[in-house]
Amino acid sequence: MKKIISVLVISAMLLTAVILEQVFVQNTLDTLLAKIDTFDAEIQKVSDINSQTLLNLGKDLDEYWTEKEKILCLSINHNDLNKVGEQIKKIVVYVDQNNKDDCIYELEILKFYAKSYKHVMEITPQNLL
Amino acid sequence: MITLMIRGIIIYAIVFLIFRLMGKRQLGQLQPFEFVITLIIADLATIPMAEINIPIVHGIVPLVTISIIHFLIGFLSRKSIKLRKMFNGKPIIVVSPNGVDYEELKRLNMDFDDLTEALRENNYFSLDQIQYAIIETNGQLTVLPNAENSPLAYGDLKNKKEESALPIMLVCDGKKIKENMERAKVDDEFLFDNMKKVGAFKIKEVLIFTLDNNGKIYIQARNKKYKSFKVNFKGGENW
Repeated sequence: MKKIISVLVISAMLLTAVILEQVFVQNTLDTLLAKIDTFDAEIQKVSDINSQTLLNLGKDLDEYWTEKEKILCLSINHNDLNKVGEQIKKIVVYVDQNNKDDCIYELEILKFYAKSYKHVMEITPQNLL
Repeated sequence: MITLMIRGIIIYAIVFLIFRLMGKRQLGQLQPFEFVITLIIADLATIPMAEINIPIVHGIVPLVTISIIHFLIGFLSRKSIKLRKMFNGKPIIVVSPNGVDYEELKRLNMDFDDLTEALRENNYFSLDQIQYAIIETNGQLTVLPNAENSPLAYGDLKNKKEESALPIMLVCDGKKIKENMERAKVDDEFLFDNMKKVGAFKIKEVLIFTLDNNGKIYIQARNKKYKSFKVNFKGGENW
């Protein structure tokens, strides 16, 4: 009886943990994509990207990712997380340097990474098989 | 490096716990699904142990999931004979008094060489020495020899013999085992009365003290020779 209860408790904990993790990761990546879209929309409006608005958006993106990365590293490969972090850092630097072309380029790559990881973390037949 | 060390400890602890929960069967004769699980667990455990970039949960979650599945299969096998046959298969008689059942051998993907090799491992070198040979669900061959080749058992001599009794440990390495003392319904006085016979006056001086249901004692004090003798013992529960 003790064993059955232990197994049931462990199963319940495991199920709760995986569901919470799935929800957290999806929400984080959705928010990240939303922030990237906002950034993209803003950057398209101006020719001079070294503006306070974009600097703030870049800083917000950076802080958001740094905060979420601490938890995401529990379930996502650290190399993959580093790639996203690296892209964000590049974007912040390019905004600072007023380098619009490279900034847009890195933004597209960042969008690609975020969408890829979102797709990989989804429960789809492609991922299961 | 410290990270690797800590990961190794965590994974080891989890795998150890899993094997403990799976029960003793896992470590002894394996059923097919248990064999599969053992192989998988070994692989899964090594993945996050050596690679820091991979989160440790990538090893733990599949490990725990597989253990839960294993437990469920074991549980369902115990509750249902049909499911037990499905998961474990059933024992197959390959040799009977009529001879070798070649059709069954073929179904088991075995040939005569496999059969005779397995018989030799059981110390039977000729097919006419055996009455039955059964391939068990774990792949082992068990043999029932014919009367001529059966090993002699004590019962064949038709002499009276005292029933065997299993000794339990009352003192081990200078420490009393209270649980066994309660089981045997003996107290400290019993211990000390018998310890004196080997020249021990404190529990710490006793290396080992066992007692069986027939009242036979085996006692050895530290740095002294053991003594084995029988006492008038009322008996405890059937342990």
